[in-house]
Amino acid sequence: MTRPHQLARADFDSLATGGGGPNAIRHLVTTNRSKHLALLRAVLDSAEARPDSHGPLAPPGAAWDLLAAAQRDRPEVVERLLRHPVVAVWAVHALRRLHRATTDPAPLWVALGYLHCVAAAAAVLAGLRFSLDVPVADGAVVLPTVGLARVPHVRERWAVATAGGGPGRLRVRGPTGTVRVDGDLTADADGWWAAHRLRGPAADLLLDDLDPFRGFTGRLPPSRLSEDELARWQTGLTETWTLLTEHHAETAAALATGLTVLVPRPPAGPFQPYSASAEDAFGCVALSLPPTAVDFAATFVHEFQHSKLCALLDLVELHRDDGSDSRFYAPWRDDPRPLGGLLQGTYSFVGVAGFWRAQRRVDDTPLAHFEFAHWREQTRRAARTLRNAPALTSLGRRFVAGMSEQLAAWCAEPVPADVLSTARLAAADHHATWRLRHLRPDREHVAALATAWLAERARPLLPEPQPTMIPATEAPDDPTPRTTLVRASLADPDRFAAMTADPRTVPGTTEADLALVTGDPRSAADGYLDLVRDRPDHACAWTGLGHALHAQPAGAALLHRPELVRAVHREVQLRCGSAPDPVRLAAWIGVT
Amino acid sequence: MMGTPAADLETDLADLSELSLAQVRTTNGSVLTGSVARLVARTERAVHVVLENSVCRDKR
Repeated sequence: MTRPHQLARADFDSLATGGGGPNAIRHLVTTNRSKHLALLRAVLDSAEARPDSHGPLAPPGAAWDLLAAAQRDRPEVVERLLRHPVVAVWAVHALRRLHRATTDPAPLWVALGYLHCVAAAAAVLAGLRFSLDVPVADGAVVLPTVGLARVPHVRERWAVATAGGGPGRLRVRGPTGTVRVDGDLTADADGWWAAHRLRGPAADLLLDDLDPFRGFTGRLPPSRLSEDELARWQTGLTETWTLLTEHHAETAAALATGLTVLVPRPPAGPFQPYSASAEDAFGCVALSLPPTAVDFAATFVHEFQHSKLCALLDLVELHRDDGSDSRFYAPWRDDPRPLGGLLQGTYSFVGVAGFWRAQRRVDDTPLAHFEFAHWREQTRRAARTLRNAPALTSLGRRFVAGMSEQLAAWCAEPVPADVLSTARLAAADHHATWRLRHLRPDREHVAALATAWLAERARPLLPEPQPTMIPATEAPDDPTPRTTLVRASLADPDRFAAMTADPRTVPGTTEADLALVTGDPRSAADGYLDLVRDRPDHACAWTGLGHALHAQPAGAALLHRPELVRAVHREVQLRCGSAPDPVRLAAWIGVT
Repeated sequence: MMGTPAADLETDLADLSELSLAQVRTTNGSVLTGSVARLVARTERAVHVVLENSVCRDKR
């Protein structure tokens, strides 16, 4: 009798703190296995309901039978394949194809034929004698977690090859040639790219540069790493795993249990690392090679938090889709986020805050203290927002309460005063800039304030309506560089000096930003005032002015309600033809 | 954490952790309906949820 999985309250509560001991992670690994099998069965059922779906390949049941036979012979090797995150990514893609919910340049039989590739991979891993037709896409036959055969001279984009072999032997016979691998399938051979594995202390990860579904969305062509690149990944992983096992033992244990695949990807841009995870790819992280072991470890933590939460959301409902399009401030994003996105980000950065909390004990640097202070405060703000969200279920509220309690404890821990002040100002700066971009104050309120200002009266104490959120649809043309500059100044004085010498390396940087970050708020304020006068819509200039004047009433207004200051400034200018002094106006508006 | 730990939480996902592929294939489909329905419902969303982190780790 098959029953639903249970989830121990203790494991749930342990995960809610942002951590999760070995039991909780092992449980997620186990439940994720059930998810994979349920998905595979769903694909099988849906495919068999459409007899034309397998095209020239054998019916999907034949692939299933081969997979099952391999499992009977070598359950342990097939187990790894069944848990492979990319198998779930493919299964979801296949279901979408079958339900006509997505498109793919590949014919349906090619998309579904990935199951045949999985079965062939299982047979190879189990050392079975077998023969099964598999799809060829762009000349390649992928055997997930095993390797990729490059079938020679295939002209058609989609074709059929016959995979077969026996112990230590693989043949992939295509329409125009055959790939033969004898002996060691873990080494490259003519026409054969073996899957890369990275090994560290207690770590054994697939470094997947081959699988078409490794990019999470759509098909990704293979992007074979060079030997040098592979060596850099191995060195990076070894250093990272050493750091984790020595100083972050619980994190290392969790990652060793749940993380199985890394997908190398290009950076997002110059000096901008990339990392990503996907809800159906538990234990898989796509990332560019981080520059240091600390960055690598922090990236693992960030992405594995997403994996944990996604796996938990497969089991229980933490929030409902209430049909609203509510959006919220997420302190790590420039755009307003839906509730689910805010929850994901918060959980991820609780993990990041915890990482820096431990890291600063062995890395007593301003940057480590800053990262800890920054992320604990930012996530605490986000958790407060979450706590009030009506779409949370009762379990969701319990989960958020768990995060909040953890963050409250961390927020009581001492941080060097100057670093704490810098972190808080960076947070206020980001929030103020977000407000300027996405909040619009009440027009009548703005008009009343403009009238009073022009009449040189005291600021009237009017009821103040909540501003309306109108999310900006385009990326800002004035990016916020100040937190980047602050991080650089704390992390690497030499690099920061190079940045100040050539501010173009950080898009959007102004002389005022540099003055602010180098400790000259007076020059910064003058610079931001010039910018505001030249470009009254320049959000970063307004909030930079607030940052530079943060100890004064004008600065407080500019950091707390910048959208109101700017709107009244604009209204006054419209009415009388000349702009008011931004600092005097901000001080007049105040914060109450 | 909140309150005294109570009974374990029931989930929507069928426990297939001890089943072989052969057993999964012959499992009554109705047993899997709840699990699959939820997973399939998610698959019908317009987009795959990919969680990209490109904002906060700007290392120059």
